[in-house]
Amino acid sequence: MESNTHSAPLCVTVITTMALTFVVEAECSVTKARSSRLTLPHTTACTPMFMPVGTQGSLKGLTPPQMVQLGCQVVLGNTYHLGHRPGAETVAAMGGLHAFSGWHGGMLTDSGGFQMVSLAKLSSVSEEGVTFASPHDGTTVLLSPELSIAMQNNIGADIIMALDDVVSSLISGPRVEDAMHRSIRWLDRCIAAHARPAEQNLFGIIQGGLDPRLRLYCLDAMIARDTPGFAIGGLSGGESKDEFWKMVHLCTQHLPADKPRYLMGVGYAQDLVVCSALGVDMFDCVFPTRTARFGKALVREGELALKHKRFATDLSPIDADCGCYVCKTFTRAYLHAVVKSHTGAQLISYHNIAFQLRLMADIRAAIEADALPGFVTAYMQTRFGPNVPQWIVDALFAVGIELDFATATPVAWPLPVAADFAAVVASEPGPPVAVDPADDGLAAMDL
Amino acid sequence: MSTEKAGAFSITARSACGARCGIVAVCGGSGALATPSCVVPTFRGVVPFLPPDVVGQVVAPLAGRAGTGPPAALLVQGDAIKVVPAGFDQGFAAFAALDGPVMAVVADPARYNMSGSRSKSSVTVETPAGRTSLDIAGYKALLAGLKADIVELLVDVPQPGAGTRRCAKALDNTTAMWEALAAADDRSAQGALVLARVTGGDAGSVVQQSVALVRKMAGAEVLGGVVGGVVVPDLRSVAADSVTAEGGYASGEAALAAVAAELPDSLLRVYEGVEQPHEIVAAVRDGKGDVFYGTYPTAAADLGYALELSLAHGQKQHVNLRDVSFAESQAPLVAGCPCYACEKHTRGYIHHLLVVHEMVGTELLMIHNHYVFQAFFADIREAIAAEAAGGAPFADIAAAFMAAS
Repeated sequence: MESNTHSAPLCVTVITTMALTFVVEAECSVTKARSSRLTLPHTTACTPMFMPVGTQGSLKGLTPPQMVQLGCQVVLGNTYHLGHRPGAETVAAMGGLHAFSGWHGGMLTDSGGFQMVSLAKLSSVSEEGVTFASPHDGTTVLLSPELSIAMQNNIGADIIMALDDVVSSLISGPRVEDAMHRSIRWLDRCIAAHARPAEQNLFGIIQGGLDPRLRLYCLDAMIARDTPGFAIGGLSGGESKDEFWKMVHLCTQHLPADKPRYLMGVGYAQDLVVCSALGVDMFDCVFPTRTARFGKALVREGELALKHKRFATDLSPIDADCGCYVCKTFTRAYLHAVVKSHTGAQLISYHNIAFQLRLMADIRAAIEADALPGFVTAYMQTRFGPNVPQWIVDALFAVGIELDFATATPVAWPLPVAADFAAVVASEPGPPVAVDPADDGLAAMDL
Repeated sequence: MSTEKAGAFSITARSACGARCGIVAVCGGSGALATPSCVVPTFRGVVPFLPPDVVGQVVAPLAGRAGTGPPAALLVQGDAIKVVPAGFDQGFAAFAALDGPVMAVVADPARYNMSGSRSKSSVTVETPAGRTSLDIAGYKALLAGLKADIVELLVDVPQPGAGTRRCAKALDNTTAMWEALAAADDRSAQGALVLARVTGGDAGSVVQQSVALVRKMAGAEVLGGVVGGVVVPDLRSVAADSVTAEGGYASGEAALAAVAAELPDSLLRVYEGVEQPHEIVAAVRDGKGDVFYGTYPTAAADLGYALELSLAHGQKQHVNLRDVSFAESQAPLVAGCPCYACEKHTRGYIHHLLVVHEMVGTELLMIHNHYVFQAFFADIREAIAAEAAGGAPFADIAAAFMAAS
């Protein structure tokens, strides 16, 4: 099997059954953004969406009822970590990760491949797979595409990811090209190994580093394999933002319009806004919960370091417009007082997830109202003032948004939100927003 | 909602053996604190691992049972110094979004050993930022900011092992501070039930004098509140001392029995030294304690234990969820328990979360253990009230509990 796929990267694997439907419901008339409905076995999600990360079968500090209250749609689990503890067979014996963890919404598992980069010192890669030394007991495990898929079949997420050969985006040279080709060969092995295609969706992951030629080759090869959705991988690993957005732009330009596009490991608010405009549908990142554990709360302007003394007497909520439980209930002064406790981390995590999900709901509402350019302009003005990073200016220009605060008409932002945030996520289109006249006449660039 | 004036403690039912149910009328929105009761230790109002919305979930299965509302929060005064900003005048409960009563005590039972300088006008207290001196002016400012429902008077507590002279000095300092507070023209504790502590360390004679001081203070108005309760520390290490001319207690057991007999019956008894379930049942049975610190469920959860405890069936051997034998267990922590953790999660999942050090693992144990403890106290209250209404004697129920544990 392996030798066949090795020499025939363009062979088409026909997926006869899929466990998702993806319906694009609104498209931005200027950018590549779209608002879609993604129906999975455990949920119907609205995209573009942010997916919080529950690495080891729990979103750190939050219980499933809180995740429901927040309006989480899809939550990530990490196959590498779950495979170590408690073990994929144990998860299967307990009825799969949904039953095991008590989270009955959407779920996605990664392949374990990312740990090739994050745990590089403990891993080595060969055609057969990735060999990891356990950080817990030193034993070695060969993570092959077949094993990764078997583990993900056991875990039972709605979306599972192909094992790819991930190289750090800081590396260049033949290793990148080899890894891209190997990722294609491994995708074929993953497809062949996938035992539950009617219940779980296997996504291929576009590799190719920062080289457009390699990316295009990988795109062609993987699109031909017709997986239910595609991820853009190998980014968000320390490359320059200039290189980052160009690769995203290239990928979304070539990925099929009728399938979901998932940009892995991206979670900074400004990146979510830019990449949604570039046509990405799904994002994940540990950032909002990790930064919360460092006492940092996300706000439109950036983040608040609640440990700072100046918050000790600040009686305003983290964000007066947020409307989440934490913002309705607590002041910055109180959160400052408990920021170093577990509960402080839990409360700030709650807000940060609410912030990310609210931002995505706002992006969706703006797309549905065909008002994304105005929304993006207002967002960037709030976030950066006059000093918008050049890569953002360039990336937005590439999809037809010319940031020009001087002539921009102010747009209400955040968009008015319904009292019940979950209802927004559930989701009717938001109220119409005035289109920024500064963007009229700017056609999307034809790439 | 009690019709009593805020800060008043009244006894509502008694059993033949001396157990009693009571109610503390509190000024907050929560209405009243029904006793016997367990106050839940908090750090600045938060139960470790349990955000306030989750605390509501903990007691949800108890809804409708007499006297069960949001749990009372135990707040250590040292933790709360300079926490409520000057511009916030609604009190600590509103600041920390607590629905239940707030009881602000001087000492944290978990770090009780306070050393440092003390005088007739100030004591050293521990704060999260280190030790600080709390004087009468600072204490009044603290109480004014907290607006707690139950507050303990500033007190000098000798560290364990202190000699008789130091104990006597602590009582002198305490006496001076209480006199100053009683004389102050200030209403910082308006509407609160004020607690006076039995102090005196291990020196039997000083403890005895301290009890006399508490008796003297009972009913007195201090800072706008009324001294309506007493904090009884762990007196088990009390011994006869050299200053026995004025009497004194010969042993810890003698001290515990005598203090219970000597203190006015009308005072709310906060029994600080008693934490284990069987000790609590005995103290309630003998009328020695009305309010207890809920340190036991927290400590058990920290160690990985799930409590199996009820007044009717006794205290069972607790299971430790870190035990690898639970790795694939689909059973709840305790079969039949209606708490969120038992209704929705398995031993296997909680075992996994503890092994990988996820916060939610300890959180689920805390949810279960605090539910169990609150339910245990609800059972106790109902059993005492039932005896008063012609039901089984509480003494028999307590004996059956001891036998089954």
